[in-house]
Amino acid sequence: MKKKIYVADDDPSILEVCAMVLEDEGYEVETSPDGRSIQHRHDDLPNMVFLDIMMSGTSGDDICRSIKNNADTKDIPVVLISANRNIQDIACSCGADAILPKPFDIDKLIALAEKYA
Amino acid sequence: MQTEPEFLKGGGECGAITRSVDWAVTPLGSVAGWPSALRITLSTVLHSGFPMLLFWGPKHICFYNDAYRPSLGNEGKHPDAIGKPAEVVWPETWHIMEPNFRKILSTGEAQWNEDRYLPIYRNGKLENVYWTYSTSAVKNDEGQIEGLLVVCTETTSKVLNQKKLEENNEWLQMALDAAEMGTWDLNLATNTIQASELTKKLFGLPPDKEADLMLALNNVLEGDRNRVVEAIKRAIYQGEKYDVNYTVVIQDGLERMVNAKGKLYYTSDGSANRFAGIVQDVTDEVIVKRQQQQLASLVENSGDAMAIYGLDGRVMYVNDSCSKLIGLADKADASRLMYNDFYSLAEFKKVAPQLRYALQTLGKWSGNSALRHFITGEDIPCYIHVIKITDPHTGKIVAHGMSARDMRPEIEASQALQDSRERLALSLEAANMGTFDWLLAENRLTWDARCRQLFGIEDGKDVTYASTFLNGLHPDDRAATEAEVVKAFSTNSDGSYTARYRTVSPKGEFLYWVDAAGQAYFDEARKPIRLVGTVIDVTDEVNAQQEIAEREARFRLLSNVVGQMVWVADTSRQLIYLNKSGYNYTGLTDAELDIDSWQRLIHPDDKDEYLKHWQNLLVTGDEMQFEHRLRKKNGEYRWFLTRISAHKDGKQVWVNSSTDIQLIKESEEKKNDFFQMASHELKTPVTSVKAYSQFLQKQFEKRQDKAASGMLQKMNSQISKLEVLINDLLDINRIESGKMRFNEDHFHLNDLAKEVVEEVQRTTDKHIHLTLAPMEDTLVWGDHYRIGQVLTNLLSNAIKYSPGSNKVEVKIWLENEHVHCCVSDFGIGIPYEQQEHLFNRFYRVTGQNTDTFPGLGLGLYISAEIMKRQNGSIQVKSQPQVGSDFCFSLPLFKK
Repeated sequence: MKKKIYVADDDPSILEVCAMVLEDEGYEVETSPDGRSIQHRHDDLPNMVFLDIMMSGTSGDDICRSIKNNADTKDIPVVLISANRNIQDIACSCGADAILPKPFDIDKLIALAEKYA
Repeated sequence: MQTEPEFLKGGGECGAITRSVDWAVTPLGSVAGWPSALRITLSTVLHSGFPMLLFWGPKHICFYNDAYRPSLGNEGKHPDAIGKPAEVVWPETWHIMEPNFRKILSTGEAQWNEDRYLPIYRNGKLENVYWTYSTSAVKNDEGQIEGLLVVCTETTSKVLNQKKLEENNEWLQMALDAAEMGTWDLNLATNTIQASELTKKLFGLPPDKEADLMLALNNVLEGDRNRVVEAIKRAIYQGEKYDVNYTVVIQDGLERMVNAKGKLYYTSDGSANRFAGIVQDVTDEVIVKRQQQQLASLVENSGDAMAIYGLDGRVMYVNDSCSKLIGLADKADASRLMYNDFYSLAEFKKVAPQLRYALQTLGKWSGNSALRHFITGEDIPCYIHVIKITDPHTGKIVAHGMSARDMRPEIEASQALQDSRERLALSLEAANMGTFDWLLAENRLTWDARCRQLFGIEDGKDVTYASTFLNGLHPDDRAATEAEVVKAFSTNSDGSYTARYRTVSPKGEFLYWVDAAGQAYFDEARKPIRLVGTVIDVTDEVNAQQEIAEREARFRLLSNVVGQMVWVADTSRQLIYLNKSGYNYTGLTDAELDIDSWQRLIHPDDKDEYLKHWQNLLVTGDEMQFEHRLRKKNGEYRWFLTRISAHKDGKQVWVNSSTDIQLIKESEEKKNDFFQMASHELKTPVTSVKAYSQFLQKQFEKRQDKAASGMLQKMNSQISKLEVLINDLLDINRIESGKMRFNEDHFHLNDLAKEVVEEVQRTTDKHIHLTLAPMEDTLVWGDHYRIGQVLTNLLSNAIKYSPGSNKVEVKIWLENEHVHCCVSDFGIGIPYEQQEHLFNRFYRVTGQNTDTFPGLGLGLYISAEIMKRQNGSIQVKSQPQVGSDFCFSLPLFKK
């Protein structure tokens, strides 16, 4: 059974390339343009989540909080992805497990997937 | 011959004469018929030893006795008077006797006369004779008065003696009065004083009363009284001579100095009963004596030299000044001098004729001459008076008096005055000042050449106040200048006059700007009599002032027109100038014009930093430049760029200019927001491009397609550079907007260096030689990422700018509580003069080769900003064509 990784980013290219890279590494990837679909989920849970912070309509740190406040999802590792320089502070405030500043090397993406999924 | 009746017997010579008279032919008839009253009375008269006369009957027939006989003298009435009527015997005094007789006959009362003057013809002449006599009526048996009996004594010698005594007394009194001497006579039994009028006057005693001793002593000056009392006691009890001087105070406070002399008088039994003497007013004498002493002292101590010499020319007296002036060793030597010794021979020849002539004609001589100094022989210029001294009584000339004033000080003073006048003239000339002098009484105005020049008036032409002065003033200045003159002359003025006016030529052309200053003088009635002063050309000054005023006005206009707020403050922290913009924006009132009021308008968030800058300015004097928000009068805050600089222009001032940069700030904000967004938006495509290309490279590597993977490798490295550029721009943006944030923690610089070197080494072929600090303890406090960024930047530069070298060195060490890190390359180096600009924004080293090196020139600026914010420092040491050392240091973290 493949490990499942949930990736949310409002840029379709990034979603696509991340999916390509992670699938190439043997993961099942679920993508979302806004991350709403991971909120209030109780089944079909991913092994880990990559969340972009600034997405059109939603904010990654809010979604991260709802994940961490949901008893069913609170143990799922969350990695925040952002071009924002303050990503570290935001990650701390919403309980995220790690960060991946944009632009990133795909090796780092793969390393994080290996570590948390 | 008739028998002699019994009652006529005896009676001496007069008895005999009486008897021999043939009475029958007399009105009394023969003796036998005489009444008994006559008989008895005549008998008594003839036998009495006391001089008596008897007049009987209506014809007052005379009888007298031997005792009376001498009073008739010889060659007179005796012996024929007996038996003759009184009127016949005493024709010379009948006019006195007859009324007396008649009175007694009518009244019957006796009369008593003492020392009565009744002249008598005797001894061949009329003699002045005095009598004391009693005349009483003799009555007959019927009680009728028939005779008058006169009992008398001639008192002529007594009266004459008394008269002589009185006269003597009078003479004495006159002498005493003439000598201003008073007499006094103290009765020792009663202690009363009989005093002459003068004495009474001297002592202030009541004129018509007897005074007592106590009353007299009361008027003796208190300080003298005991002495006088003691002297009186000694005179009375010890018989000492009484001669005292003392002062008497008369009621009105007038003091008289008196001299009293006296002695004790004794009665025949040898006891003292009177103490009498004289008193003399010596006030005038004392005063004269004092005046003489004063006069003598005045002469003696006079500053003028004085001398007296006799008619023979022999010097009799010289005063101190004189002996000093002519250099006499001893004043006594003067008596050996002749008056011509006072002068040198030449001078005497000159003076003597004038002296002789003037003394003969005028009785005195005054003139300038010179006295000779006895020792030095110097001629001392003197102003000399010579007078004749006359005897006050005889009016005869007895001597000559000379007084001489040493003129040397005056000559010096007048020389000095002359000098100072010359100096004044010189300084007036030097100051280009003119003078005026207006004598009001004569209405005479005097202008010197310079003054005339300023009014365009020729020399020699008369000048007057109204026609020359007032007409010479610019019409606009005339009223004000005249008012100044009136003010100087007003009664409550101190007389000072100042005015500034323009002068015009008679044709009305402008000549000069003139400052006039003067002083008015007044007579006793405060009436102005004179105005004296100076005038000076101030045209250039006025023009300059006007220019300055115009410039000032322009400056103010300018400072009000520019949007900036400008103020100037002095060391008392007062704003001595605030421009219109400043007033308008802040709404500050004139009462609030001080630095503190201004600083209260600064936004609280900016104030601490502002005050830090202000303090720095106060301490160092360096210009301060600071951006801050400042409250507008409506409460709104706007951003300003404030520059304050210290100036020492006469006094210390601070000049502030605050430029409204709100719009710039806002657009900067917008720009920053835009930058933030743009770089974020740039990062997104870079992220996906980077991911795609890395993924592609991976795929090609798996397929062993080296050409494709090689190209993709190059693409990735260019994407990394793009990423660095984007990050640099973002960092610049953050630095500029003050939004660069640091996530600080402690870490070992050794560890950071290892990580960075490892990472950079992966991207370069050059060998990076890392030398770590020998001890592990390189703990610092800061942002691990940012400090890594600095080291990365320095390493990138070192690699980039050392194309001809294959080695870069990194060295870390500890020194002075700091951790130091140096990156050294062996590349192109940097010229010295450019090194200081290296850390400026957008600065890039220029030179032949440098254009070939890409970059925005932001790396070192960002590194320096990071170091500044991390309490570190960064320096460069470089030599062209040798290489560069870039070093930074951070404080060692203490646990």
